[in-house]
Amino acid sequence: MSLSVTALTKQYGGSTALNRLSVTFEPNVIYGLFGRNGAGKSTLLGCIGNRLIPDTGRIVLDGEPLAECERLMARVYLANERLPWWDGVTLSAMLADCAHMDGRFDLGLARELVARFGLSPDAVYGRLSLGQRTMARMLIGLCMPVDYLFLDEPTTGLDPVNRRLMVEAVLEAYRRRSRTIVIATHEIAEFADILERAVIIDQGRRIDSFEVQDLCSHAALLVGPSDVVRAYAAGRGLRVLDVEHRGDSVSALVGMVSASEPEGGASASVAASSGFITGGLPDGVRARTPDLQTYMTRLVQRRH
Amino acid sequence: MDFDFSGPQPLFVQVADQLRAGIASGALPEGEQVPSTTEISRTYTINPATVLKGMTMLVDEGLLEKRRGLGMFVVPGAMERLRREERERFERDCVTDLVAEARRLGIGCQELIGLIEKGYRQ
Repeated sequence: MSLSVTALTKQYGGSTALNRLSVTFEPNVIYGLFGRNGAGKSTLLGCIGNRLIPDTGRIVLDGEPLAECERLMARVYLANERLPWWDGVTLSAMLADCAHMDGRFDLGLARELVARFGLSPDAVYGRLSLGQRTMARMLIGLCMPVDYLFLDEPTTGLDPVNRRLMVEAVLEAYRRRSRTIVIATHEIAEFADILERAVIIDQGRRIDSFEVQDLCSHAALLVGPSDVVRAYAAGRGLRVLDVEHRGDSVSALVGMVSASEPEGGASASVAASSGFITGGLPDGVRARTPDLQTYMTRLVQRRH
Repeated sequence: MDFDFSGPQPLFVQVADQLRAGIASGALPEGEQVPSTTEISRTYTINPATVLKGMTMLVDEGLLEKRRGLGMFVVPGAMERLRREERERFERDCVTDLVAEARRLGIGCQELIGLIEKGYRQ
């Protein structure tokens, strides 16, 4: 029981958006999908949501190819920057259409979210602001009766209050109907507390995936004299992922992340590293757990 | 409960700490049900799996017990046990540090007792 993507490749002209990317989404888990602009997040979600056709690779839901089966496709929904249907209609008409197409659409929650986001049910979609259109598309996604919901940039154009409301809305929808929700976003700190797992992609490949709450046993920031930090990391078998120089000392991001092994090597070795920052640090070296945003930023910043 | 979302502790550890504090203070009485994962998740906007992970820590410590279909309950004797552990921790960590710091500053035993008595009067 899962949605798994295997060796997915997609090229646009001469550029490779997805490069044999593999990832598995388990049932009933909220995922964060992170990566820089152009890393391949939207292309990945477009392929899963059947809006793009991959060049090669497989997308399988519970053991069956997804794209060939209407019954399976009905269990997946992608809310991204495009409105899949409707034009020039009011929000209330859009919600009524959704409820008509599938009686299990959560119309009650949809109306509640329209009110909470301060949207007018009588407003015509095309006349809404950028942020309001985002809220409308995302709230529809949150009320869809699917098992795998993908939200691509659910906070585009949203003010800070509405961003907070969006995070709460995702959690509220998840409570009302347990399902997998994959959130592709750059607002990492905003969403961090509602995530169970994170997937990081870069240059069309998955470079890391881990339990968000176990970041403390997955990576650490070591601050101290350069040679001492490097010797300690080497002695403990820790991979140095990024180094920032701060005067005489360095801040090194270390972890068990295996950037060259996209096939699950990283998560398999996490347990072995558990608690590595508590074990006797050399004099002059301090260790702390990076927050999720710092980790992601420092992991991908020098890879280009 | 009061969570430090930017803190160095993982959120599930903070959930466990907050529940322990609630049991120790009597805010979560022995034998009674603690708030559900859903309630805590909603109130503090935290993934329910994270809340459950924190609660499971307390189940493993024998402070909470799961009653099938009903929820999580505070184990009788949990408050007494936590308070005893807190006092031990106070003696082990706080008193040791205080005495070490007093020694460093040249404050003798009687003088330190005097300072503590003054602190109590304030």
